[in-house]
Amino acid sequence: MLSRVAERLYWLGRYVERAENTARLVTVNNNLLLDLPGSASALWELLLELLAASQSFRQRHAAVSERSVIRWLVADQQNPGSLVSSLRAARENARTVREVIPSESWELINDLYWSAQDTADSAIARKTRQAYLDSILLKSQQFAGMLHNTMSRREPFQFILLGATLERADMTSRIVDVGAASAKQSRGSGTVAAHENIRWMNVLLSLSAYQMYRQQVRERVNGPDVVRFLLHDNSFPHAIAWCVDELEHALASLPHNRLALQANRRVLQHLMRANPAALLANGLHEYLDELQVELAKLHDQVVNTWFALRD
Amino acid sequence: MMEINWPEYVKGTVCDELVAGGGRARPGAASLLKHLRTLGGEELLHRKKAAEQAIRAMGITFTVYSEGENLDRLWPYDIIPRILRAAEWARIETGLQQRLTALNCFINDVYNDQKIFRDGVVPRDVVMDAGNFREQCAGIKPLHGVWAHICGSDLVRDRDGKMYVLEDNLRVPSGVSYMLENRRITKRVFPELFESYNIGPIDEYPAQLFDTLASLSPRGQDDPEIAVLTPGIFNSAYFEHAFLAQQMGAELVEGGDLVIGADDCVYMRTIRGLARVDVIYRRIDDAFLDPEAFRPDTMLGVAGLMRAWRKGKVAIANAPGTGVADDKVVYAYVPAMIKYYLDEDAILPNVPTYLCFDPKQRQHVLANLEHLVVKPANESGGYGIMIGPAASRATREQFAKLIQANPRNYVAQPTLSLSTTPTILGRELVPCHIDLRPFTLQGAKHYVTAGGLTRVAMRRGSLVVNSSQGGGSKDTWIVAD
Repeated sequence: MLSRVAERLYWLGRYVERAENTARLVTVNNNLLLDLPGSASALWELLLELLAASQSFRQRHAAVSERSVIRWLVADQQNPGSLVSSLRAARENARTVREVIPSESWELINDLYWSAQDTADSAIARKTRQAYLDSILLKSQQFAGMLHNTMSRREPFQFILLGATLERADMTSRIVDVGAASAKQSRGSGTVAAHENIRWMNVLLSLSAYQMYRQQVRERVNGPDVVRFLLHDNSFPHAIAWCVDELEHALASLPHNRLALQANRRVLQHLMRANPAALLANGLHEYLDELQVELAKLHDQVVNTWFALRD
Repeated sequence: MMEINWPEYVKGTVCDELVAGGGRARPGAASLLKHLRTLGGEELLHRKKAAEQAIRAMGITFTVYSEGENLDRLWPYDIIPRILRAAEWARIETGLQQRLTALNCFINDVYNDQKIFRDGVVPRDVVMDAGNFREQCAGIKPLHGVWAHICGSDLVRDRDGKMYVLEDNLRVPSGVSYMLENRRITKRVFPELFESYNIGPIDEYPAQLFDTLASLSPRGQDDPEIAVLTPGIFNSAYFEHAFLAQQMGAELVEGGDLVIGADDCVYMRTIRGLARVDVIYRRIDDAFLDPEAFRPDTMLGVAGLMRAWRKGKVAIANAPGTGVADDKVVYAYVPAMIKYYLDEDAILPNVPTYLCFDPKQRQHVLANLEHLVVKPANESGGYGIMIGPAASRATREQFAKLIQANPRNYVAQPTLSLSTTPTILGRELVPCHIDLRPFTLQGAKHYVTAGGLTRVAMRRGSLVVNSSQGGGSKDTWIVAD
């Protein structure tokens, strides 16, 4: 397979996953907003921060409001990280490799982009927002499901998987970060502990993880258990440990994989060092930052091994 | 409300492909016309809408330059098919094969023995001054003696009912993917008609193209590595490049994916390292193929590609230098070539062509500009053309100057009326002018598509069918009598 094609497949995987997780992040906030109306503007600030979109947002907007943040994160094509921009990039990448992906999956990603763009305004109003986000989630899962069921487990598939899984691990770490920060917020404002649990429950819901969590953890929802589940569970597909496993499999089937496998094992080591309860008390944000750096190193290794054009 | 009234419709046209005088159906078109009437105007508009949705969902696009961010546009397609009878088609098919065979003899001769010049059939200067002769190709003998492996000829029907060849596109003719997609859409829109008609299938084209390309492989092995070389996603035909690569199971490569090894073989950069390429179906012009041989500033090509080709390490389709026969002056000599190389009469007639480099013919052209179509010898895409009857006095004067300044670069032809076929414009059924681009392949064997891409001028009365200039397209049916 051509290096260039491998690279575009990898980014196709990443961008679809990014769009899906952006929809999830906005969903968490959306739910929190309804449960805890008092803390709205702080929540939006937090969201911008975690998507690393804060600076670019401030260059264009004087104040943080629900409408302006949602527009920026979902609909605005001037924001390269917005949901619609991610889908646009996914579609462009798919378009340049449509000869290697099943044609139905191209049609699906094409449709996903157009409908996300055409109806982006419905994400702004609260009344229609969740329906919009749900339809993005549904279609991007449909896309993943289609690839899983119609693509041979050869290199093209592995590169899409690699991109999607790396992105997912990164986004889960960001979603945990949002959850922890907003839980802390609720403590600071002196509200009862129940509120903190509501926030953690929302984190689980946003990752479609609530049911699976309940089957695994009998305790009532609490911060340390949720963080442990999302970092260390190796059976739930949005948990980071599961992602690392998946990456290991994908990498194992590719040629010249030694350095990339090493980088992935370093992610795993970092992951296993975590003590959720202690981190929640102190240093979780820094820890997750470091985890994201390890994931970025793995990404660099993937680029150097397979995409950089070498004679 | 869109009306379907064939007697009224046909009053607006001189020669229609489906409807004859008084609104009667032409042979082969009866069931279609009847069916359209039965469906009625509103239903047709519904189906048109369904087709547009299908095109969008399938992502069938073409690219228009200089539109800023919005690069790909939806493919313009009219739902009413164009019909040709199998008996007429059989003759056209033979005529196209004859033509391409003779053109390949000509190109091979021009780059090798140049007998046709010595025998005085084609003037040497006409070819050598054309600007398309590539000295880098002299002395090369490609496999099977074939240079143009893929040809897209443009056919038009004049008011006399005869089909003429308007031009032979021998460089990088495009449109075949749209021919295939048009059929897919038509099957979605009018599935019921495919039961009542016996329509010649076209789906085998990618397999035929693959076989043609495989027959060129210098290593002659069973499973050659074939690559489609594209300029990239910004090219207007990128959709087609990707489509053909996908359908053939070939690699779609850009110049940067290829490298010439120390052994002069062509390799592509893969995740496993370098892999040899046997055949390149190139969709970029000669000038951009190789910065060492042609334009040094090209970013699209591969340094050393011509060296690899000349040494026979890789096949290139169409071969570099093929453009020497894709010139409107050389075109005028094709019937003579057929006689000279094949000792046959041309089955398909040329459109009468006045060559402006000839003083007598030039006089005639300059005196009759308001009746003629003037074309530059060496352009494609419908650029730089003057249609005399529609041109202003100022434009005609401008072209008179251009012709006098550079007579070799211009030809003139009588204004053809171009046949029409029913087409939906807005909410009306209008006779729109069409042409036809069939695709002919030549490698170890010949192949002609059953029909081709029918292009339609999507403005009332317009004769310009190029998609880059607002033209549309239709599915083309070859139906058994």
